[in-house]
Amino acid sequence: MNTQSGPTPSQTIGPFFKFGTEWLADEHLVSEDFEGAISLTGGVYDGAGNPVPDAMLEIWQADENGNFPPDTLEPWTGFARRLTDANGEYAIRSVKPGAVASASGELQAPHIAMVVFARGLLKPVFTRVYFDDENEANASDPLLNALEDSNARSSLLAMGDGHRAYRFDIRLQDSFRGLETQFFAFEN
Amino acid sequence: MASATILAKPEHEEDPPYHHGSYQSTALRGPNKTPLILRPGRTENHGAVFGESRIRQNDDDLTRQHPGDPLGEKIVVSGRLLGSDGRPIRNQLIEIWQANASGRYAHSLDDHPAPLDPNFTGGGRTLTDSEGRYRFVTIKPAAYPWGNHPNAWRPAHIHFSLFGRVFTQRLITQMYFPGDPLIDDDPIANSIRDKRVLARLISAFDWELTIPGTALGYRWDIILGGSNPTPEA
Ligand SMILES: [Fe+3]
Repeated sequence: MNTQSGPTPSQTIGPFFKFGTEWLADEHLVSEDFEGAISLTGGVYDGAGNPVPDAMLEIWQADENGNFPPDTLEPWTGFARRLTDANGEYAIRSVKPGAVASASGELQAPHIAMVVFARGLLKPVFTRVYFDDENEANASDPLLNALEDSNARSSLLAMGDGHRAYRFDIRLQDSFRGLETQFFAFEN
Repeated sequence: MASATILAKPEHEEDPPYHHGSYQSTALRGPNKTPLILRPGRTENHGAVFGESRIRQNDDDLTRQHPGDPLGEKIVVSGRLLGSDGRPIRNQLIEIWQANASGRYAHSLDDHPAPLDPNFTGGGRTLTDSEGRYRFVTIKPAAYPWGNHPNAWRPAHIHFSLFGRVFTQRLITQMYFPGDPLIDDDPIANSIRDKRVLARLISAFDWELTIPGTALGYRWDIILGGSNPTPEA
């Protein structure tokens, strides 16, 4: 028997979660010598442009072939967690995921799902990380193409340096410049 | 804007809003743009599986993580983790963290002048069993003051981090205790507009969960909304 009548609602992660969550924040998705390893780094910023040093973010993604468990060749959780540092920054070593199908079966450009929690967020923000050097795939991606606002589209692109290092910043709020990251909620 | 990917459907109303005036920190951190409703693709419809390899002995008994006994009232917190379809979420990770019996967190930035307890850290984790059940032994956390407004106090609570079958079910929330008079004036709890929905965060005292002579028991079941995909063929 359960005592509840509907979905459990969200509450903020608060400021003091480190001792409860950092145990899972130490793993990279691939080893340093993995061929095709990328680094994904970035910062989390608030509406005043200040870094958010007490955020926790997670990425969830396919492997380099676009597969998820149990179809991956190597053991693969597709999951990594980071707590932002004193400068609001995070860094994860991963791979660029292979293309995966959308809900309606269209092929999507490579992307990573990301969720961010922080003090002051009563519920998390969900977004997607695409790659700015995937011009062709991005041009036919159903989600990117559905975004009418060009700032919203570019907020989803991780910027590559040409050497497999990508930067993806999360702007929780940026109303003056209109650069707020495009966030998503999901169909229930 | 409606397409095969982005839906025109409004966000569901049960979760708190991003902006809640009486909780000051939402002002600069809550997004101003309304999130677009996305039909989950395969990436959002995959689940993370953690397994037992990183769960250690006593991770689910916060009173046994140090050489001595912690101060405070020992309690059992137990319940089930379910999808909104009523099916149990099996072998999935649940993480908790909380203040000690004086209302102090084992965190370097917590400056509440209540004592730390050398025998209590306040972090725990476990995996649900084959029926979605979980069980923690811990200490009842105390209320603590915070800087949100004059004489602001958080009701006693335990933070919970939950994973469902898929990414879209990811949830972090707080469990409260029955009869706590601070709940009614707490901006965080009351960011949930519907009192019946807020009631889902309040655990129930349960004699069956007590350990006679040792610990009182609180039952709290968790239902993860989000999508409940049928397993892929
Ligand atoms: Fe707290």
